[in-house]
Amino acid sequence: MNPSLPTRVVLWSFTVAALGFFICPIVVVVGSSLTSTGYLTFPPRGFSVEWYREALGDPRYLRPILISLALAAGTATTSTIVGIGASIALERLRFRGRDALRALLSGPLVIPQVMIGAALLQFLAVIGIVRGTTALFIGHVVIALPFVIRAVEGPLSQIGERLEDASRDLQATMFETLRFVTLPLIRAGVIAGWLLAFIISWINVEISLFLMPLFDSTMPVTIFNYVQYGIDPLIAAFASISIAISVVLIVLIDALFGIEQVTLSKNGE
Amino acid sequence: MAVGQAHMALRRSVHEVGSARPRSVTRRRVGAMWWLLVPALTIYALFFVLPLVSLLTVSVRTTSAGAEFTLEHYTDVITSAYYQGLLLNSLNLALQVSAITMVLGFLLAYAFVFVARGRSRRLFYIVVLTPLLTSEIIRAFGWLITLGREGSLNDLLIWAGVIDDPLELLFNQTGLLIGHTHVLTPFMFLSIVTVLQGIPRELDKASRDLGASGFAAFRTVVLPMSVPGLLSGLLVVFPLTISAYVVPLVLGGGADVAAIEIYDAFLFTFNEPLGAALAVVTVVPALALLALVARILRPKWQVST
Repeated sequence: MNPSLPTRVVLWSFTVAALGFFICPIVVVVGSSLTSTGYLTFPPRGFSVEWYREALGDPRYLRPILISLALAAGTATTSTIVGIGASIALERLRFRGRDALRALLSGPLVIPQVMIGAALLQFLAVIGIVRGTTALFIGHVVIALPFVIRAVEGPLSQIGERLEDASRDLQATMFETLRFVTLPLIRAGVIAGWLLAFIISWINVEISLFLMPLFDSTMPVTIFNYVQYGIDPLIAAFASISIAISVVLIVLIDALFGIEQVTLSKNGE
Repeated sequence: MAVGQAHMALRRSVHEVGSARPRSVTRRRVGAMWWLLVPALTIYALFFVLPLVSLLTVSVRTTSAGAEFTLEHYTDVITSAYYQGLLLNSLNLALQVSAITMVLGFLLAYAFVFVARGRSRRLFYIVVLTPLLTSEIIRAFGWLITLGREGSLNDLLIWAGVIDDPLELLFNQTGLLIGHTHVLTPFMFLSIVTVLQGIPRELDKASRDLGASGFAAFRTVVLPMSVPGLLSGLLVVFPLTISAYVVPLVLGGGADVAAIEIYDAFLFTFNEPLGAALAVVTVVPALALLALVARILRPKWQVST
């Protein structure tokens, strides 16, 4: 559709304002972290990276960074391995409950995190896993899995079954087919899925609040606990480190695969 | 391209080998594929479905460890004026946010699909998506800095002479709305973009050929066809708003919302059955209602090409 020029002008002005609205808080946090003052102010006064130095030099802040990194990497790897299998089976197998199963596997996207967190908290306690790193890891994998499955689904349905059929006709076992035919062809979806799962774990707040150990925090939870009592450039620098990782990953996904392809589903789901 | 070459090589090999494998062998091999599903199914069964069922079970027990069946927590929640207010608050907020995000999301999606071109398009998309992939608490933090009484926005407005006294934009309904709109509009945007991209351009041309003005074409072609996108966006935005925790706590001043009560019940007052009942009462009706609405309305707006 080709909107008229006045419509286009209005839309563009609106868009610019809206886009400004969307990046406003992020820009403000990063900007505030660069101030040379001891108090938080935006726009910043002076320019200094001392708050980054202080954040990274303080074990109370370095530790959550490392914890979040390890947790995200672990979550991403686990959900990717599990998710690839699930996605392939869902695409290639035809059975009656398939759509229902697909819906179930999308469950964590629909059920609010408060509910999942509360449910996991009390259930895990019953089976002997109290709040802690394991519980946290489980919670993160559960919510990251649907993203991996969706990321892999795209390339899977695109390449179709013929190559895999041909490979099987040539007497390859299922594993050989998977390893030499399917996986290399869906490699893009797999990596994109891994990166997405990493981000999902990296930024998670609500589930983490329920399942975290008492004395160790992830980055988002550290920020959460901190800003309720006060804000200063130190926590702004800390938060900016988190933003930086998010942005790096987003740029990476976009450079490698085009962020649109990865996040927009083709069939309107 | 590598895929094409591999394909050709395989086709040649198949010709050389001869006839295809017998059906039973193919079926056996395919049967092995079920194993691929096992890890995911186990994780879901054990760590998603079972916990939710367990939550339901806890909500009808007297205490977390109690063995008696009781509906007292549900009656507590439904009859108490406090909880009624809480739920109405959450509902009211969810409706407002849904309306705002639908309008904003639609305008943005329309601009993105039909107006944006080239490099600005990519930038457009990344800017809308980036908030989704940064932590919600950091976004809330950013709004804390911007909207406070001595925050950047008030500073700017006072300096420009637009206002004399700072605006109260935090720890009230306004802060809540701003925070939620910021978090949820990208979801609505994504849903609507998906649908708008599926509208064939010929339809617009056809309606113009039949004499429709630009706006009429928009009203009778694009708008109705974007309704599924609005609905699926609603399906995402509404539950997220009604169960939101971070924004109400940080920007709404600990506003009376269900999620905060649920969290407190589980982690401070250790009243798990009450928290569970509250969670069920908050979430289940919302999801059920939306699923119903979606199912009723979606066939009506289905596009047949």
